[in-house]
Amino acid sequence: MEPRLQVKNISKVFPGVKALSDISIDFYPGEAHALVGENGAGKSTLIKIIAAVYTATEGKVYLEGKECKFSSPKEALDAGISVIQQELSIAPDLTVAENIYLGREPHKGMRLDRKKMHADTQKLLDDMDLHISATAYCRDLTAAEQQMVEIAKIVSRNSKVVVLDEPTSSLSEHEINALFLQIRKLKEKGVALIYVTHRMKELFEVCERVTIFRDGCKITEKMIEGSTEQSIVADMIGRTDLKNYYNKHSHKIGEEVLRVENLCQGRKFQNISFTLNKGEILGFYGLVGAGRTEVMEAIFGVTKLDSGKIFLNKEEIEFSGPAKAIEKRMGFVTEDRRRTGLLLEKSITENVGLPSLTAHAKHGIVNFRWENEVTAEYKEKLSIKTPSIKTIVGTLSGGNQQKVILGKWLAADSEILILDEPTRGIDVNAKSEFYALMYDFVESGGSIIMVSSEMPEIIGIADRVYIMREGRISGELSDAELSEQMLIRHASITSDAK
Amino acid sequence: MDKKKVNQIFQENVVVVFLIALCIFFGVANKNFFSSTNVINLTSQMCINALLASGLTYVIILGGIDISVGSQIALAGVAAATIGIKFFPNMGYGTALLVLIGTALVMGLITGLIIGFFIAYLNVVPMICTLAMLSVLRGVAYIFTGGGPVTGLPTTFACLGAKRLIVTESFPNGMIPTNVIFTVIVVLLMHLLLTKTVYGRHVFAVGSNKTVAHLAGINVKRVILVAHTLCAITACMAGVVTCSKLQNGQPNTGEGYEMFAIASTVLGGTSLAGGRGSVARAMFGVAIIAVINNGMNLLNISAYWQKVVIGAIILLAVALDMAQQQRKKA
Repeated sequence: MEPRLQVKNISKVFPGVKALSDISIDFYPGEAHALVGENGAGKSTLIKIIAAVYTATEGKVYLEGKECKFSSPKEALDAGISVIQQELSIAPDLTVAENIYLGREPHKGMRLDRKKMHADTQKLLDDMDLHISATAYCRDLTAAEQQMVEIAKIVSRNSKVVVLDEPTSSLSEHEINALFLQIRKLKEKGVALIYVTHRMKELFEVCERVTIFRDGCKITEKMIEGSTEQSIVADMIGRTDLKNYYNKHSHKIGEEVLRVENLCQGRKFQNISFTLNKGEILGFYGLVGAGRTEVMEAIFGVTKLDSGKIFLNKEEIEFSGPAKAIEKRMGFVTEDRRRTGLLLEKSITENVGLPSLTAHAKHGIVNFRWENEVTAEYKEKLSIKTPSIKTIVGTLSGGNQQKVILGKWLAADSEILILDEPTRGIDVNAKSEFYALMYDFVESGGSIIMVSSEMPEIIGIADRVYIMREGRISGELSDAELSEQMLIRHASITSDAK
Repeated sequence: MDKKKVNQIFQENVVVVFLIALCIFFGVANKNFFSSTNVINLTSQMCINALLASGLTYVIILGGIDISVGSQIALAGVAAATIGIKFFPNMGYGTALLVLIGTALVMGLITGLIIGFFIAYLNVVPMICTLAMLSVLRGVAYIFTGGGPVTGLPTTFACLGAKRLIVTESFPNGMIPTNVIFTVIVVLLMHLLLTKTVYGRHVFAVGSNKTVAHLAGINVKRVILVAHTLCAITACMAGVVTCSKLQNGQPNTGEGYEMFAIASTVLGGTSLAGGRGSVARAMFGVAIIAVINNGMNLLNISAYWQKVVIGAIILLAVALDMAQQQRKKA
């Protein structure tokens, strides 16, 4: 069988990071081909290259044997490559029919042929066995129904290649089954499906083939039939020598420094209780969307809690906002450093000094000397590679940017650090360096809460782990109990642990 | 390498080069341009716009805008004139100065807090909020005066707008206009506040990225509120200088001045996208606008054409800025 879509020797380099190196994969019609790998392994980058959002640094993409030279996502779409993103691209104030025919509305001369549009859409929806009205407004549909509308759009376009990026992340079990039904129908039509997921169970249900990514490389490709979950997970993680890479070593753990009790916030999370001890690295594991980030934001005072108590050094405290948390020596390294971690257009000095300016100022005047000295100090200590402390942060590599953020909180004399996905999107060596810095911090008396979706990282670094599932803490594991199987069991929505 | 550096310095100071080129052009085209009378006139004309631009810089660095500054000029002017006539009809220089500056501070505080409150706490888009205030404040100024000007003020009232210090033989009217001295002081203070204080740094931080600023413990809403208040205070100072110069309170003054102020600020390299800007550099923009207006007057070009030119300059400056941003991203 001829491959429908081929990527050949694709590499992609971002400033400071090689996101993909030499990837070649064939995608066949009527097949669902899964792409799996840890966060930052390069799956999303590949998808974006296929959809012409990014241009590959090297390598080529072929659709039905012809080289693709798309200059925009629109051209890729017109050629028959559709992508369903995690974030749906539905216009809520338009009807189902209007959404499906957006940009290619049937018309008679200048006039929109509404009748034909609605009739065609309804036929399409009925053929798909969907109980959705063509004239309904999309904002009145559930998330799952909206996703079905996206799929109907793809069917109506007669797409040749369909990319599904974590399509089940916001769906319930029942809705997932409905989705899988549609996926099977697409396969029967001979569409080549590319399926990105973190969930092992789904691979075995709808996919024929799987390619495993790690650190921007294609590790292996295999047929699902005959593979086991264990073998796939093993390929995803890869490193046999976890201990050396993370350099886990025992360190002194002291008394309780932070305790939270029954934190609740709307539908985001409920009854969150945990303790953090002095000198401890406390891991928070869970699937994307389990509510970990939301809990951390609430503790740091970014969002308001509905109920619950926070105790700092055994005294009850209320964090009215980040300013209060910082005053109490807490620091928060957010998961998206470019959007919420750094002032990208500003210098390293301005970024490092930012949370502490007020504390070190006299009569409101910036203490420039302190700022320069402390920045120079942490440039040395964290070995930030930069020509100068006045360098614009946006020009640094991901790993160095992350160190600047760490430096910012260390300069603010933080005693408790919340690190949300601290090593996302930075390369292996930078990760290793960052772990060493985390150890330095806890050994000098600090405490860390680390939110991470990377199992090896959690296992390799954390002294103790809480696992969250659908807004609740679903388990707590000590160092000795930590294993991939245990983490997955507690984190998975559909696993038998339920 | 060296060529690159020269190129970079040229790019960063393109405004200065443009200003010098303009001066040479008008100097050659009309020999009166460099006469001492014209130079004194020119600096005096710059004052109003310089005051406006100094405050507007803060708001624009935050990614906002205030297009109601022209109306604030009128309202502060008629307020100062009315207070002067009602309560201090025989004022001396000291009292006049106090009335003028006091009115500017109070009026600026009130309007600035109102505008800032709507923008920072009720999340009204700055453009729409100040568009509404442009109308409201102008209306209040007219209601206040019943439509006509507030006249009959003593000559001492002109102390801030039309008086000149250092009288010599060759300058019987004095050499340095008081409005220039006043403006230099205010602009200098605004510049130092932005570059040397924690508040100034917070303005840049909020303008660059609100989330990062908030997570660093900065009270984002308060920073925005204060910036709009500062902007209104400088606008009201421009207002009292204007009314002192005219020696009466005109409810129709300052119309369209927001255009000049925004143009100056943008020419000075303050990005409408927020995060970057400088009061000092805005002054080059102010000088360019003043030179263009003054030069075109000297060349007898109609005021209508001046409008076209100023508008075109804003458009060009912003387009250039955007092009530069795009190139940086690529």
